[in-house]
Amino acid sequence: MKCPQIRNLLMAYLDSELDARDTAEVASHLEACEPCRQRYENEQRLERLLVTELERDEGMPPSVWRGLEVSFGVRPAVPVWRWAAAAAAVLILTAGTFFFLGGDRAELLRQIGAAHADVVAGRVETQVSLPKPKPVEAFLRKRGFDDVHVPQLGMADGHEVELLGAREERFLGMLAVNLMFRCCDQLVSVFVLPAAAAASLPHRLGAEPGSVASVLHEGFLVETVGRSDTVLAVVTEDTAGHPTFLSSRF
Amino acid sequence: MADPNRAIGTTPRDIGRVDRPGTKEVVLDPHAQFMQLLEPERDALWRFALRMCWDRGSAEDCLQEAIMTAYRKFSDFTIGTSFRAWTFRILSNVVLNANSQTRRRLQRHVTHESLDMVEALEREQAYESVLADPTGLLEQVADPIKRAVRGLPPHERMVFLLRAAEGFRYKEIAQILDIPMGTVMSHLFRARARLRETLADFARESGFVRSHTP
Repeated sequence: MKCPQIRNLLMAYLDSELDARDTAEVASHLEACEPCRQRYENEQRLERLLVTELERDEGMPPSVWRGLEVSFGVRPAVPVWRWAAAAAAVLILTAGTFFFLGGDRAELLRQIGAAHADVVAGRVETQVSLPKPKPVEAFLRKRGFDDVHVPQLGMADGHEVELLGAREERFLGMLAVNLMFRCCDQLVSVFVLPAAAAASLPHRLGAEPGSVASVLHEGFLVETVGRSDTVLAVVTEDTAGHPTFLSSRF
Repeated sequence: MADPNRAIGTTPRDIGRVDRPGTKEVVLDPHAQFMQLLEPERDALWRFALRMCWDRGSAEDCLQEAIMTAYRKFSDFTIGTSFRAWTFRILSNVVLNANSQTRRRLQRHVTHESLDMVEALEREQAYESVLADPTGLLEQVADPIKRAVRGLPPHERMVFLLRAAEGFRYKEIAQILDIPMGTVMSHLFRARARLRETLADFARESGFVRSHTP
């Protein structure tokens, strides 16, 4: 074979995909032909660089793994906690991204509604002794939610906000955390759910990074806020006083 | 979903390692076996999903769907065959299901007439400069390789990533994507040609060629 034919086979040779005869012929040519050998070595170097560059990214995000563990049932069951309050709003927040759970949307909403009703009826209590953002974030991290930012207290977007505490929850077998706030005299539950829950929410949360989408569903206002790696779904019963300040802070 | 107190079961959903009573044999139940096989592949699966979707949210979506599909179908997997190829096949299907146009293009064999661009490129001085000093291009142009790979049509990108980044053989890629091996080779050939073209463009646009011309 002459140089042009050899060059046509170089990449297949590089991939070790030539048959024994062609492999021997290319190898023998490369030994004897300096320009072709140089070409081969350069292609080999570029190919190696391509692979190195493409492998430079980080591994699978923890949120994906967490979602899988929850779905596999690896995460432990959570005890029921009691907390006294009365509220007019419920927020749902999902950390991570979407995941097909195959769960029942209506059932998820029913469980969330029931959990919030427990809050309203004073049948639950917080698990965080110091209701400040940092301790609550540490509480979340211990449960695998390490990418949730809890906003500072005080005025936010015209709403006066007070963080009351947090507690574990379980919906459709998934571990969740309820962050409880008081906002403009309303009590608000923010449920931090694994990404697995997103597919079961009433609205497909496809918000682009930085955008907000809203939809009314069964009396809830569902708001989604997107950013590059986190999507939030906000559900509230009270559309007039909906605490969108929370979503804007994430 | 799983009850750790259950005796060893026959489905992948049983949790944990179980000692068979009366023997010293430790049996890895299907759930643990699945997790053990998945562990070394998960980062590669993630990279592939990310490169195919090029959006973290969609990539996570695809990957989780693929892993859950693999988990549900684990009883179909033949122990001793390539778990890596099996999971990539499932992930590729999830990606292709989201884009029927990519699937159609993937199945279309590329004729040799449409490969002429490669020969033209061979003559490009710009590509020669890239080949002579690829790391120099990396220093001069931000992320040229990822940008070039991103610029590939999805069906070519899929074949290229399976070969160049994941190291699958042509025959394995054909099985993963369920297309003839000749089609794999033609898509790969074309993908590499496009990459060369793009890298050569980057080299020309950035002045890299001039600085490397004797």
